[in-house]
Amino acid sequence: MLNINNLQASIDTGAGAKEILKGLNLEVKAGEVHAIMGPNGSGKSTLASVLAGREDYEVTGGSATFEGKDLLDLAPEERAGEGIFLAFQYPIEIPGVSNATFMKTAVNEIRKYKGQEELDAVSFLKLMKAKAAEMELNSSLLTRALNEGFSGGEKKKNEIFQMAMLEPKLAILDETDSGLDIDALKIVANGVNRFKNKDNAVIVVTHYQRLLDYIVPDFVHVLYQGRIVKSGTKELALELEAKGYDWIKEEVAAG
Amino acid sequence: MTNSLEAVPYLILFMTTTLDDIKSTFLAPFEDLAEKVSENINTDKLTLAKKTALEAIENNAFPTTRNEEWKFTDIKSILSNKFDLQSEKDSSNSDLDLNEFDYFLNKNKDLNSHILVFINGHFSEKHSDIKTTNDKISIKTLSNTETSSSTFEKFLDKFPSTSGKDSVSIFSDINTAFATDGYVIELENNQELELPVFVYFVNDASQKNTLSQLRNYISVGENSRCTVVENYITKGENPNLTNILTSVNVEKYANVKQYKLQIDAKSQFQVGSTHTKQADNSSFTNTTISLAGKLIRNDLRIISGEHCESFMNGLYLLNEKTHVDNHTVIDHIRPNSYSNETYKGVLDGKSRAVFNGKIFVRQAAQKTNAFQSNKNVLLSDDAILNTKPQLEIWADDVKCSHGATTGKLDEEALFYLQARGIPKQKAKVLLLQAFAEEVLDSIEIDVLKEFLTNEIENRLSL
Repeated sequence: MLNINNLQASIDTGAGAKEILKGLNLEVKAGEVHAIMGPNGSGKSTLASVLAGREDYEVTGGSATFEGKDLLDLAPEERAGEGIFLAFQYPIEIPGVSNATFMKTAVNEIRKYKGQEELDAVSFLKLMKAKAAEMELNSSLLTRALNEGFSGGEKKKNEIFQMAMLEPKLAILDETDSGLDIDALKIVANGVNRFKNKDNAVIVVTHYQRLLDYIVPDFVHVLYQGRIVKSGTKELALELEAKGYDWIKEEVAAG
Repeated sequence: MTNSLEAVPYLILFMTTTLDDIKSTFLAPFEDLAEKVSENINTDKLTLAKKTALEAIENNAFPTTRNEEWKFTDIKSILSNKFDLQSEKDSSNSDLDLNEFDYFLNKNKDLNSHILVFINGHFSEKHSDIKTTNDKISIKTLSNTETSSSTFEKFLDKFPSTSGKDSVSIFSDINTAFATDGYVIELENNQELELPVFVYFVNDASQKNTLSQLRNYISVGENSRCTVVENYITKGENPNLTNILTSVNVEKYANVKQYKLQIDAKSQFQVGSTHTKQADNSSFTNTTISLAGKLIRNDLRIISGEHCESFMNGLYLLNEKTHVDNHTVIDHIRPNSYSNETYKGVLDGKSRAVFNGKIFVRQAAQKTNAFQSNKNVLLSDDAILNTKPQLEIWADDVKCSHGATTGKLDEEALFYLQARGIPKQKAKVLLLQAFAEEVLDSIEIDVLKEFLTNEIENRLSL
């Protein structure tokens, strides 16, 4: 589904370009859950942003294909149309745009992209109510402006609600667990598990192991200094939780 | 006012202006009219005011950019034109098909309203539709009101800023001296004008340069209410100028809503002012929407009594070389009043917007709540915005705030929407509609609100 090959990306810091991804390889197949872990500043969020098409980053080398298509060639909205979804680490507040209007526009734009008919108001409303109930999202949040004044937990639940509405093929969750209490964490994880099936895939970007108790990964990768330096199964996440990242850093330093 | 004013010889009046070529070029077509005013021996207030205005025109220069109030709006482009005054009257019954360029009416046939149409400064009965009202409500035009002098008298004392030594600018004096027509809406006490009055000011500039000079009066008695919507439209590409002045008298507990729509007037110059006086416990709302115009200057002045509410809402969406200058003044002279001003702008192309909002809180006006905000989004590097909020507060127990912001469209928000599959162009439209929402939300005429919401989209997809 997703093939990342020797991906290099940098960001313009104002004082010159700073390379963040330094030759990253990753393959994600349908039906898989991948966790990407790593210490702060290793490039986890950069990877998520580059895959979603954030313009701040410049891809300087390598490739990323999604179902055979060159992902790096596509505008962010086209990537969404192809089935990529990024759950933002910091969801943006947009005053004046209601959550429902936003969602209806997004759902129908993606349907248009896929050559499907747009949903009429009634079917959309039905779908939205059902998905919001699943995410235990207070229905008053749907009529309010997008994320405006939402609590941290509500924002994250809203991200997963959006994912459920848009039914992407590949969901990238960027530190979705940060700032969540245990109840919200469970709701979010249940949302992801409900979404998960043999035809789609999930990349969980996280700093901590705790989300992985609920969203069980098939593979765990450690991202450090812009590369994946170690891959394993869910046991690797537990090992990292117990031992921290220093031993990984030492391994890398030892070459 | 003395009789000696009658002696102002019009010839001298215009000879002295040869010192200022621009002024004399602009004023030349008025020579015959000035002569008539000078020779009028009547001593009614209107005639005398016109003579005073002539004198003011003689003594005052047109403002230049050295004048603080006109710093960012250079009117040389207006003054360099010669406007035809002669055969205007014929056009008021012209075969002009309003539907042809009326963005609004033909889309909203079912919009129930009184309709007044002025073409090139003259009332066009043919195009108008004033519905029957009870005899305590009158919707008339200045030219058809035999009492134009008494109407004027009623307003003159209340609105010193509309003419004479305190006038906003020489344009007001030109208006006082030479206005040809305008609407006069009067409600006695305890009256409600159920339908809004839609007034169309049309400049037909398809054949020649056109000038419309209009003077309007709204007078609303105690506990009465009405809504007036002014639409400015230009047909044709020749230079055309609207010089308009509206006085609004709002009595106790009355409620007046005035809309000013500058939507379909690409080639139009416009200098206009609205002067409002609010008696205690009254409410006044002015909503000014500017989408097109060559050069537009709007002056809005409100004097607020006690326990009044005053709302000033503005939205300007400008592109190409459109220039719109909004100057507002709210003068709180009595205690316990509330004013709220929200002006929002989106500037594209090489457009320029000027916002200057003054809040005065006089010493007697304790417990005043006055808020002002001017927010702008610049879509182009070539667009220019000049914003200047001004607060002058003499009272010590007041709540006042003002703020101005200017920025580009929020890139983070744009990316968020795009990442959800919404194409960039559509995402921009959504964000700008959201930006304008605060002003659009205050519009109580649904079809108008809907039209403007769509217009934002149309503008951007050009």
